[in-house]
Parts: sequence; structure tokens; C-alpha cells
Amino acid sequence: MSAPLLSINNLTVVKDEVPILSGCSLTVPKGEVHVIVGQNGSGKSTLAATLAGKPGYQITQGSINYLGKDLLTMTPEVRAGEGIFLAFQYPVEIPGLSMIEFLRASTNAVRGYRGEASLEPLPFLDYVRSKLKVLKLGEQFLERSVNDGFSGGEKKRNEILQLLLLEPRLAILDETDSGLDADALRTVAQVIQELRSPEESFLIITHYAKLLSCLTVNRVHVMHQGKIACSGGTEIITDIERHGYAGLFASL
Amino acid sequence: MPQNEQEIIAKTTSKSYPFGFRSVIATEQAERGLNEAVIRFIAQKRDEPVWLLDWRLAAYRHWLTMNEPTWANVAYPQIDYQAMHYYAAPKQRQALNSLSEVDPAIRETFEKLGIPVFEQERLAGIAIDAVIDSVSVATSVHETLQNLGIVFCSLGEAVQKYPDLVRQYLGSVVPANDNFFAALNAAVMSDGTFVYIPTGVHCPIELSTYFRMNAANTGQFERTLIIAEADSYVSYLEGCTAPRREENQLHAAVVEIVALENAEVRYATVQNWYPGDEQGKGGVYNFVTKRGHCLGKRSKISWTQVETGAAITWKYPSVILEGDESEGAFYSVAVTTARQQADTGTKMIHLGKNTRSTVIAKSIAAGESRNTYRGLVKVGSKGEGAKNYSQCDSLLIGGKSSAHTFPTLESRQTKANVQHEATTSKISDEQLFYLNQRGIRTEDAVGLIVNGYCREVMSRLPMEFAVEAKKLLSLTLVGAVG
Amino acid sequence: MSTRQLKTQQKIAQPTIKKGVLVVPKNSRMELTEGAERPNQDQEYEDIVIETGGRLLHTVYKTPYKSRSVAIAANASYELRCLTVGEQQIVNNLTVELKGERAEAHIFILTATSGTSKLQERIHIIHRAPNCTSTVLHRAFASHESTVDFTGTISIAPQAKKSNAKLTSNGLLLSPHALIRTRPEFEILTSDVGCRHGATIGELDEAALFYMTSRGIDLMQAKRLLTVAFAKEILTGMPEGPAKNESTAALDYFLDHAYAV
Repeated sequence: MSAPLLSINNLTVVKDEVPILSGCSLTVPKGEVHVIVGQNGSGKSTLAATLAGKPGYQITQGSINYLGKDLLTMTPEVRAGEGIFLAFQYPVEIPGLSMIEFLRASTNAVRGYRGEASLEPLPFLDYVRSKLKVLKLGEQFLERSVNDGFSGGEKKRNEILQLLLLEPRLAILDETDSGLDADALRTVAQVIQELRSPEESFLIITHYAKLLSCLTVNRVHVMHQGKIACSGGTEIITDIERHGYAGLFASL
Repeated sequence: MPQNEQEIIAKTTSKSYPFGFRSVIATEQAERGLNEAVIRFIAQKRDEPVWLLDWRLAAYRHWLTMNEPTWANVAYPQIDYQAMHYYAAPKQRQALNSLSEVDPAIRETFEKLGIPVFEQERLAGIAIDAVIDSVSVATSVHETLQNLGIVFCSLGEAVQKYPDLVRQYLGSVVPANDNFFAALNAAVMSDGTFVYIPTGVHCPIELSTYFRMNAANTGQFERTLIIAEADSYVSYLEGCTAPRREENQLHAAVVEIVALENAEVRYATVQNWYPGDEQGKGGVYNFVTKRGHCLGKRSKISWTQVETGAAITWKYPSVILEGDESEGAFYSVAVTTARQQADTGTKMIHLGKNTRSTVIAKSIAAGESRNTYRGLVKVGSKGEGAKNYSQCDSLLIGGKSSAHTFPTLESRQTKANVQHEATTSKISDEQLFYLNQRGIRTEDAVGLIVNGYCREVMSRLPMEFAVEAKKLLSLTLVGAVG
Repeated sequence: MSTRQLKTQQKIAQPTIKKGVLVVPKNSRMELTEGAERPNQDQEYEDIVIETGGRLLHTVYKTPYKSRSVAIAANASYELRCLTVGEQQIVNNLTVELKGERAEAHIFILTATSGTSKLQERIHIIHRAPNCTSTVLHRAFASHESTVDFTGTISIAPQAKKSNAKLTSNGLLLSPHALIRTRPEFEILTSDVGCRHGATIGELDEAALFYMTSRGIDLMQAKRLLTVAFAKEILTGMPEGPAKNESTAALDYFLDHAYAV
């Protein structure tokens, strides 16, 4: 068995002096799709933020091992270069910065880190076009300012577009499915299925079973009070749907 | 903001000036100080006609009665007007017949600046007139311009060759008694640029002038006069650099534009004067009066500026919209870093009927700088149908800088529409983290966001210079320059 | 300044005036309306202090407030509606300081000048503490040969992070000899803020006028309706009572005589 892609060990994360993750441990092997569910406040988004390196969080205990390296010493842009991608739950707006310029800067930054050549504007445009098609987005999308005036669904599709362009090894989707209609959901699920490879893993944070019904999921984790309370197969989701979280925790 | 991010921001907004080298060129200077004798010396050196000397002297006498304005939101130590040299011309060895005869030291300076004055091949698209200190050193005269009857020469030359034109329009837009610095300029004006576009002519190339302030303790008092006859068009670019100095240098320039019926003049400035060191010492004091007169019906004048330098900037390019249906525009990006101070803005005066004005001003204040926008939009009682739209936005970076906006809207016309909007914002941590997560380093992220913020203004610059201006903007704010 | 009515609502202590300072005590709520009555010596005040958690709903009409300052403590709020209608020479100067966290100020000003009035109005909102919110809505009509000169300044001190300030000034010139001058100003000394100001001086919307006349409404009536709509936003929040009635009547009178053309 090859070394896991990601290994979180006994992690405690504090924000504004309040511990949000307490002794959280999680392992994600290469090439797998893992799902994280949990009630609001269980620490799901904090886990995602910590993996991406968001400022404002103090790690007071534990470690994160990624591809055999210590993730916590890497800045966010270095983590991106190393292949970590976070699809934000609430993507921020950057008025004035055009999508095409942003996408090119980001793609070339990550390619540069990996020692690949930068893409010139025209070849890059072709590259983006192919990805736009997959997500059924028109080209005028590229002229708009990043997330500025985007509907909720457009913002989420923008995140997935970037996922397609940056080809990460670990894609963390923070409630990407909320705000998507059935069609968009199916498209996203297709994208994930097609991106699956022995080298790529997904960590999907979600509330909804809908997305998961279109995907092959390797493992489901339930977060509760800042740590993984239990892990198993998709039967956990069914359990929660039937008995609620209370029911699930009672049976533990 | 976490400590390391604060450090990055502090580092990216400190400035390192790439043009701070000094050229050793033999110059001839007037004695220090300002008095009638110095003015006569200047007029004599430039071989000026009597009417011009009289004009200078009248302006000087008026200047003596005026007080330096103190209301600008900038603070600077007293300027000692008697301590400066008001004339400095690089010594030429002989009369020039061709460009290759110009003083090698001068040519070298321009090469260091990367200005292709003396390379004919690169002049295909741009005609350049270069000014070192007070005298236009060389003007590359382009055949095309000559054939179209376009005059593009130094003001000194225009006074000799086209005295009637100069006399008719000089001081017609900015009279000598307009303000303190305009009076000073009129008295001691050094050389500058003269542009004349005849009726119906569309100038096919960008006209450009580069300035350098080379000698220590010289103020620079260039004067530019642009006349666009009916149905003509010209696009003009002014770009400036200055070497590092310990003392501050004074720059009190005047630009006058006259646009006749249906003419259009676009004036763009990309300015990168030396801003002073981290403590604000030794930079350039940039006090400029720039005014356009839309004299004819349907005439258009637009000012576009990207300002990233000068220790202290005080300038308000204005447009007087006298002709019916005339249009004025002001597009500006003003960046201040370290301890710079800028007090800048525009005045749009709507006098005629159905006139329009557009103001888009973006200020970016980083370091401990102070960035002030001051604007005036005035609609006179005869300005029926006037329409104005102004958008003034401030972007603050780092937490120690400040932005001030003081617009004044004034209207005496029931059938006019004046609209002003202003916002202040900052580059948020969320935005920086979003870009970081996409692999982009914070320094580059700041550059991307700032350039996006200024997009509307940058798009108004002639293409060749837009690229340079964007780079300049990024360099000013992103990492150490050079 | 005179107080016409010191109307107090339940759950508040009586307002106190000490040495020219009106105090709204902690966690109390007060409604204050000022008209043009003769002042009562011991009820004069030039400064208002709203203590922590206090709320003051203030209406000033038919009378200039000349020079006044308002200091708002943490979690307190100040809502002012100020109406100046008619022919007067006035200089009004109001300074509002948000001194404690989460303080709020909402200022609504409606001025309608006629004859040869000159009205100079200065509002200065100063944010001195974090997380405060201020809004200023200024609407002005100037008819006949009158002048409205409005300056609205928002200052944000360095420690006032996450301030939220908005200022809007809209002017309507109703006659060719009137003048409106408006200066919306910012002095921002910290980056962590959201500030916005907008100002317009214009005329009634042509499209809206045409729409109404095409539906058979007489032009003068249409202008009147639009003008009233212009003022409505300020009047809407006014508490019911004599102040509101009088203001509405004064505005009606103004509009009847406003259009010089």
C-alpha cells in the first residue's frame, strides 16, 4: 500500500482563542474520494481552511503530513503549487480583476512552481475554452470581474473551472453542491468522476446526499465537535437521513 | 493581518527608484535667485522678441504680489525661491545639423532612460521631442508631420517661427495671473512643447516628450501649448523621470490646450518623478497647472494620468467646456507610497449647452502616504443640458495611509445632471488568501488587484504606454523595483 | 435651542439637561421633537450625549440648529430628521461623533429653500471607534433665487476599523436662478472600512415625467408628484404627530409656489 496522500494527526486548531478542531485525525489515500459530513459548527470548514493555510487559525497541537512533507510549514501559494485546491464555500469577489487575467496568472503560477512552461495568452485561451465547454459556461464569463455579480451557482461553477485548470492532487470541495441545481450538480459530479485517477484525491464536504448519489465514494467521515466521530461507507449517509445525527451518535 | 503578511505588504510598497542616476553634462546656469535681471538673461539667452519679454516681466511683477497657496492638503517645508537657478541649459558645442551631433553625454542619458530619441528606426510610430532641463535638446522631426502641416517643436522654436500663433494663444487658457505657480511659470518659463494641428488633420502618430530634471537646484518651468484647429485630432503623451537628489526640486509647469470646433485632443501623462527617500527627503515638488479650453462646438479634451512619483503633487487638470456639446474627461490613477503626498483632482466647468464631462479617479494609498482628491464640477447658468458623471475611488493598502476626497458639485442649471460617486475600499485578507490558494504570491496578487482596480483608466492610454504604465504600477507596489 | 415637546416613551428615564448638554441616559429610549417655539432658558442645549445603549429619535423642523454636536457611546444610536423649508438665512453645523463600538447614526436632511434664502449646512460625521455605522441622506430643493450649500464630511479615525459609512446627497434645482452646491467629503485614516458617498444635482427624471403625462396627468401635477416622491424618503420615518403634519403642510406650500417657470 502506497503512502497516504494526506495524513492529519491529532490536530487541534484554535481561532480567536476558541478551539474548533480538537484532536482531529484523518487519512486520505491517493486516488480516493472521501466525504465529510457533520452538523453546522462541527468544524468542517475549519478543517478545509486549515488544509489550505488560511490565516487566522492557530495550530496548537498535531501535524499534517502531505505527500510525505510537513504541510504546516508551507504558505498557501506553495500548497497550491504542491497540488492542494480548495473550492471555497463563499468565494470572495474581486471587482476590477478580470477572470481571464486571474485564471492565467493562477495557472501559470502553479505551472511555474511545478517547473512547467507558462502559457502565452492565446494558447491559454484555447486551454480555458475547452474547460468552459465542460462546465457549459460561455466565453463572456472570462470578461467579467472575479465573482463580482455572480449568482451563487456561477460562483460554484467558477470554483470547479479553476479546479479543472489547476489539476490538483487533493481537491477539497467545501459545500460546493449547495446552491446548484440538478443539472449543475450532475455536471460537477461528472467532472469529479472524470478527474479521478490514482494520483488525485477528493475531500468533499457536504450536507446533501444528492451529489453523492452520482459519485463513487470510497469513505464517509462524520465530524462532530472538532474531530472525526466515525467513518465508514455510504451507509452512514443513509443512517443520518433516517435517524438524524442524534440517532447516529446514540448508536456509537 | 498576521505579522508576515504585514511584512510583505510593507516590503512591497517601499520604493526603489530605477532612474536615480546622475548624468554629468556640462551646463550653463543663470545665477541663483529670481529678479528682473535673471528674467532678462533668460529672454536674451533664448533670443526672444520684446513682446515675450514684456509678458514675462508683467507676470513676474504680478507674482511678487501673490501669496503661495496653503490650502492644499499637503505639508512641505518652505520653498526658497531665491535659492534656485532658473535657467540651466546643457552646453552645446556647436549648432546642430543632425541628431548624431548631439552631446554624447546627453544621448547617453536618454539611452539609459531607454528613450529611443536618437534611433530613427524606432521612430516609426512615435515622434519624440526630448527636453533636458530647460532646453529641448533635440527634436526628431518626422517627415509625415511636415507633410501634413503639423507643427511639433519646442516652444522656443515656435516663438521664432510662428510668433503670431504663439502670441494669440499663449496665456489664453492659463493667464499669468491665474495662480501663484502659473505666474512663476510665465515669468521664468523654460522651454516646452508647441503643437499645432491644422484644420481637418488627424495626427497619425502619438506625439511624445520626455523630460529630465538634471542639474541640481533647478526648478523646471516648462510650458506646453497645444492648438487643435477645427476637425483635427491629436494624441499627446508626456512622460517624466528625475534623478535622486538630496534637495527637493521644484517643477511648476503649465500646459494649455485649445480645441476648436469638432477637434479632439487626448493628453496622457505617465509620471514617475523621484518621490523622495523613505523619509520623504529629496523628491520632486510637482505643482502644475493644466487646463484645456473646449472653445469650439463639439470639441473634446481628455486628460489621462498615471502618477506614481513626486514627493508632493499638486495638480488639477481642468477642462473649460465653452463650446456647445463639448466634452471633457479626466481619467486618473494616483499612487502614493512611503511618505508621498498627493493633492490632485480635476475641474470641469460647464459653460456651454449640452456639454458632458466624465471623471474617473482612482487613488491608491500605501505606506504612510496621504492621497487627496479634490474636484470641482461646476455648471453655469447657461449650461443647459450639461451632464457630468464622476467616480472617485480610493484603495488603501496597509493601514497607515490615508485617503481624502473633497469634491464640490455646483449647479445653477435646472436642466443639468451632475452625479458623483465615491467609494473607499481595501484589499481584503480574503481576496489575498483566495489568490494565494490559487498559487499566486501575495506581491503578485497585490499587483493583479491594483491593475484590475485601475483598468478603466489604463484602457484610455495609448496602447504602447498602457503596457508601460501597467508595469510601472505593478513595480511601484510590488516588490523592490529593478 | 428650544424644545417643543420632550416626549418620552415607556422604559426611559427623564432626559436631563446639564449646563447646555442634553443627556440620554444608558439603555433608555427617547423621542425629541423641536419646532420654532421660544426657548426656555433652562431647556437650552447645544450638545447631546447619548450614553451606552441609549437611543434618541430626533426631529428638528422649522428651526435652525445652528451649531450642535452629538456624541454617541457604544451600542447607542442617533436618528435625526431635519427639515428646513422656506425662506431663511441659516448656517447649520452638526458634528456627530461615534465614540464607542457599534454606535450608529442615521441622519436625514430635507431642505427646501425659496425666495432669496441662503442655507449653509455642514454635517461632520466622525467615526472614532470600530464597527460603527453611519448613514446620511440629504435631499435639497432650491427654488427662486435661493442657495443651498451642503457639506457632508465623513472622517474615519485610524482606530475605527470596520466602519461603515454612507452619505448620499441629492439636489433638485427648481428655478434657473437658484444654486445648489454640494460637497461630499471623506477623510479616511484606516484601510479597514467600507465607505461610500454619492451626490447628484439634477432635474426630475424626464422619462418618469413623460410616463405620467402620457397617462393623462397634467405636467405640473406630474412634477409635483415626482418632487414629493423625492422628499418622501425623509418624511417616511418621521414619527406621526404635529411635526410630521406641519412638515407635510410646509412642503405642500413650498411646492405650490416653487416652480417659477
